[in-house]
Amino acid sequence: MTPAISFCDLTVSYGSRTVFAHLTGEIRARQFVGVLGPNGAGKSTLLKTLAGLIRPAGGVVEIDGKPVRRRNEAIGYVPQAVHLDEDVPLTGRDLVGLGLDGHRLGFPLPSRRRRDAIEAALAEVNALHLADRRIGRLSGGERQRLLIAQAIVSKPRVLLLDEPLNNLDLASTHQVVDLVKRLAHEGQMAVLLVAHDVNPLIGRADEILYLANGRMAKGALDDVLRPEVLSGLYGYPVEVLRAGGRIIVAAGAIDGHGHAVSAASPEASVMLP
Amino acid sequence: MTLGWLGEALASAPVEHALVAGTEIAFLSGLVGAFVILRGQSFAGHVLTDVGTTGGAGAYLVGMNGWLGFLSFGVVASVGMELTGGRTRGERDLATGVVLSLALGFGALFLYLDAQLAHANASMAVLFGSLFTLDPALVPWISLAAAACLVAMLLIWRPLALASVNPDLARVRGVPVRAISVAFMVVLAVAVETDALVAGSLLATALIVGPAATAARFTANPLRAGLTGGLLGALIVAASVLLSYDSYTWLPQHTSWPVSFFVAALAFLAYAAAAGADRATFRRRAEVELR
Repeated sequence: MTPAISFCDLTVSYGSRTVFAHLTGEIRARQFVGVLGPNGAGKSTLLKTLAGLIRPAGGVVEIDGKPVRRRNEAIGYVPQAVHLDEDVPLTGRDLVGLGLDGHRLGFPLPSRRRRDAIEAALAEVNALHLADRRIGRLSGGERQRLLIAQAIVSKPRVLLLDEPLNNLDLASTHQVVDLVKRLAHEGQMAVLLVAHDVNPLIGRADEILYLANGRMAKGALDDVLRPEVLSGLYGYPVEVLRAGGRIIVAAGAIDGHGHAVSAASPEASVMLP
Repeated sequence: MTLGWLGEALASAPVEHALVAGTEIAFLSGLVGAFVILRGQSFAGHVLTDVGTTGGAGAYLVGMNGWLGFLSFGVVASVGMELTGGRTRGERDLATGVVLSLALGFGALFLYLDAQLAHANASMAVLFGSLFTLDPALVPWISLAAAACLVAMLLIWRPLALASVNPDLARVRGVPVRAISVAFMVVLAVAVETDALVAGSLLATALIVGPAATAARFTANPLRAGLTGGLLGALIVAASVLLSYDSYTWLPQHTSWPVSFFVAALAFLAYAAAAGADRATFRRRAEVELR
């Protein structure tokens, strides 16, 4: 079976700086992959390249066996939580509708089919009760679920989420990750979710794609988050600490000068030596 | 006020021109205002009025038509801000602020020179509006500009909305986000700069933000908020024109109050009433939920 996403020998550079080079891999339908790595490793860049928004310096990206192109309804894209003022005149229903036909000219004409598609997407993310609420007055988690509904209303084959868990509280984080997992498994989608922290993904993501130092490791969580694998990626000793079911990735911990490189807070990974 | 008075007002050519041009541009402004709120760009709208001041004052200085002065500066500034600004809201505000101070500097120079070089009324006309002294030859052009912008707005409505709330998804779906943003800024510039004729450059944003913000209190749908805001804006301008005409008989006698005062006052009253009504229903709903 053709993988939903495949990329081969992928290299992306900004000017003279290479973000990552020669990445090869594939993600099948029904697979939920968490993308991890320190700040600046190119997690969002990888996502945008797979979405066809960034032209790689080398290599190819294929969606469903065909080279990725613009004007793509096979890809759903969820950004970081967007900030909108309380009184912005936009309801959950409007937001989701834009995912269906927002690329078309003119304004939306009401139709039975349009309404049914929007309500089906809202039901998928358990947000039917938010349909007529203003999005500026919702919580971060509620808004994120609506953005996911917006991304999946066109029934894409691929769902890309760029740091959707930022600024969410713990309960909302788990709710969103559980939702994404269910969408991947029941909705037949290939899902890539960029996150700062591995912990919400434990037991939920099928695979981890770890980016660091321009290289990548991909596989089951327990196979990737191992000291020898990550040390090989970073190019210096890295420890993987497990405590109470949680995981902390730390650089150079053996000599007592440990720095977390992938912990709950994004700032933790800035302190790389 | 009697019907005879109203008939007399409507028979007057300057009043008729003011009503036609004013209500058309106010409708466009309300429609545009819904997106100004959605995109968080009221600061950019405000800057365009300041840039317009410079254009308008410069136009008086060289004996050019005031509207064209407002318009040319506003359109150039709007495109410039959109193209030089970064992608984040913060970067955009910085670029906007830089354009603003430069424009205001030239505005100060031009207004000063206007006052020195025999155009003593120029600063009043530029800052507070000159709807009743509108050149009749301009009226059809204003109508044309408003109609063209209206059609453009309705055409780019959906892609603009998607690009405003989720630019990355918009790009994935093939929406030319940059081009659409520039197109919106040009429409915003036309609306703002023509409002400057009605309400003066100091109060032009009252017609962009006021009616749309009022409408947004009633309805949460962008298209409905835009259309309601447009109708409300047109009503406010029509009422302001007639009140300004009537104020000739008010105190002090034989001096009309400026249209811009009525526009600002009515826009504020409408917003305050809507906010009050909205709060009242909100409280009532909260009480029902508590029970």
